Amino acid sequence: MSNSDRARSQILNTLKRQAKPMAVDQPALQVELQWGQQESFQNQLKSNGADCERVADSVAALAAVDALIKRNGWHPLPVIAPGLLQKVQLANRWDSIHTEVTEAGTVAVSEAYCGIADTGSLVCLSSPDNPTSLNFLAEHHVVFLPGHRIVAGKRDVWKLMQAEGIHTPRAINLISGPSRTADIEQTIQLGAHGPRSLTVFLLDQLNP
Amino acid sequence: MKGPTPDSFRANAEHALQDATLQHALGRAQSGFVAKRAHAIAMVDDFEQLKQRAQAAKSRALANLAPLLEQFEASVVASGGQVHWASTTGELNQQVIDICNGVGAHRIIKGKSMIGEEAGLNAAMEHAGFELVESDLGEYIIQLAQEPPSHIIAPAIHKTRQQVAELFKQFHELGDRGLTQISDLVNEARQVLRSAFLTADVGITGANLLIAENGSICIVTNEGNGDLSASLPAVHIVVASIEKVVATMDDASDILEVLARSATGQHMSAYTSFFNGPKREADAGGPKQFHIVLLDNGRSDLLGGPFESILSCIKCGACLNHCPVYTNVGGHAYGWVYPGPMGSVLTPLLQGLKATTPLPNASTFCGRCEAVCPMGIPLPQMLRTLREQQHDMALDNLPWRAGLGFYSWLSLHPRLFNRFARWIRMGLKITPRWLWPRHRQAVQPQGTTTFLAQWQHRKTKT
Ligand code: SF4
Repeated sequence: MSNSDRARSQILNTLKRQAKPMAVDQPALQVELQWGQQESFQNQLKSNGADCERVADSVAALAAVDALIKRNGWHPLPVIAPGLLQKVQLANRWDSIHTEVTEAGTVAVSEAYCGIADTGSLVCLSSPDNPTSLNFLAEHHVVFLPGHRIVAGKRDVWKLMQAEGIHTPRAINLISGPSRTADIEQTIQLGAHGPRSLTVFLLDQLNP
Repeated sequence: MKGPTPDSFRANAEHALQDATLQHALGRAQSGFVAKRAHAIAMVDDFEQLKQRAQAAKSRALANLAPLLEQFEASVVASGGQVHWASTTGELNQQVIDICNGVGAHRIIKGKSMIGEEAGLNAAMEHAGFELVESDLGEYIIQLAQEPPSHIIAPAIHKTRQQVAELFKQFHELGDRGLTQISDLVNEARQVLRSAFLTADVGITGANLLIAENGSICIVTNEGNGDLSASLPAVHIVVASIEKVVATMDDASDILEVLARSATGQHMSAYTSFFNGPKREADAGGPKQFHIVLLDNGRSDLLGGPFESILSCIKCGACLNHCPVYTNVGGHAYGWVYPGPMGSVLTPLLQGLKATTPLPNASTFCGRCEAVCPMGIPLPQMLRTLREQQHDMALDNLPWRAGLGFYSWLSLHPRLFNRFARWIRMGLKITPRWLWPRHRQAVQPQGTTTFLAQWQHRKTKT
């Protein structure tokens, strides 16, 4: 018997002996999935220190990304999530697509599964199409989100995933703003380890 | 170097009160946390309802701890991960070391974990020859300074920017540079730690919650360091205590509603992430191995007893930020990793009352901790019970016991009590103020007569 097995039975036995089983009143089930308001999502997200803009489609969004890059002097070539690359029309906007997320000034563009209106959070599911590292390694993060996919609260995310038959991925990242720290003198600094900025484009439709 | 211990709380506190730099840092921290929390709570319609939901989720979990842990284990295994169990902190450290040795690891990147602190995991790993770097900025700073955390969510709250700059200049070989701004310091840490992330063999993180229904673990950070630690290295090891488990993603959601609001005054921290098993076959990134080490360290004994509800603690830190004792003496005075009201309860329960006798007494019983605790933990009541227990065990010091004995005898003899009260009153009036201990206000009796005399007088009048 390994140490872990011994500890396991010891812990579980103590817990079973000590537990005072009580009738647990289940919470009132809120059965229906509740959708959220685009406007409150946008307001919350902005109060979290992110930018959020509504655009017509991915072509307009990519043009806006290009403008951001030029205006801010970011790395000229964005890193685009594989899933998004397949869906959108790049229309020769960039000569080549960048893959080196860690380079200084890089902007990563990925796609969110849905948004949460209550807290202005993006829900990103990891997959070959949307690797988690994109959300954290780049210096600037741009997220595309179809404008109609905003749910009310966290619980609704799990309902939506269930309704759409999505299995628990390796990572579910609820992202509610750029990376920040207040560890030195309680002063908020953006860009601790993750992206220094977060820009969200709410798409009315994917492609024109 | 022998640092402060719980047993030397009085001396530690005295020391802290005279440390002007520390007092400055603590003053700023208190106002920041308290105001941010108040603002966040004012923004939600019904915070009481959110608290009730969170507490209900936790009660459900504690009532079913054993079956939920079994379910959690089965779910982790089903998603391709491995679960290890540790009764003691020594076992936990050994399990982590064994896993790292098993994969031939050398460089470790670590996210913030109070369980890691409780176990002294860093020291154990360094002793075993691993190169370990803390990635949470606050934890990184105190790792360089070789100090324990002084706050459960802001570990380096006691450090000023000048002190951090000195540490960075001492440990980073980056030549001459100005490090006067906080942004300079954050950028330098980002740069130094980025390479640590990219070259680490193993990432170790804590967990805020464990979810039984699907075997996910939840990590809440603002920096994103937990996510990088969990996603870049080939092996991810999670260290967590057993009471972190909840039944469902819905229950986890209910607890998350109160966590960030109580901790940093945000509706949500920047990153709330759920990690589930190793990378999927088609995934480009993510760890190939996913391990969870579950620590008991005496918690199972608390279940079903008078201190069970301390297992509901979600380590938000609100009770620290609102505590008049903590905000004056800081975290190090408590002598171990858990400070403030929650520490004054938890430390004696984990380490025994004998070595921690001063802690339950480090409270004015003002009750703010209980009022702000999102999990409704009756901290003052538990401190009172601990005081009773240490009195029964004769752990309080002799003069104190003798004084209490005298007082209880005196209060059973009203006439003597009255006479004594008059003497005390007279004594207080004539004692020179400089005889009074520093950091306390001298009480100068007002009026011409005692409370008891007035009471008697009014009673006879009516
Ligand atoms: S005792 Fe309550 S207020 Fe204190 S850290 Fe724990 S949950 Fe937060």
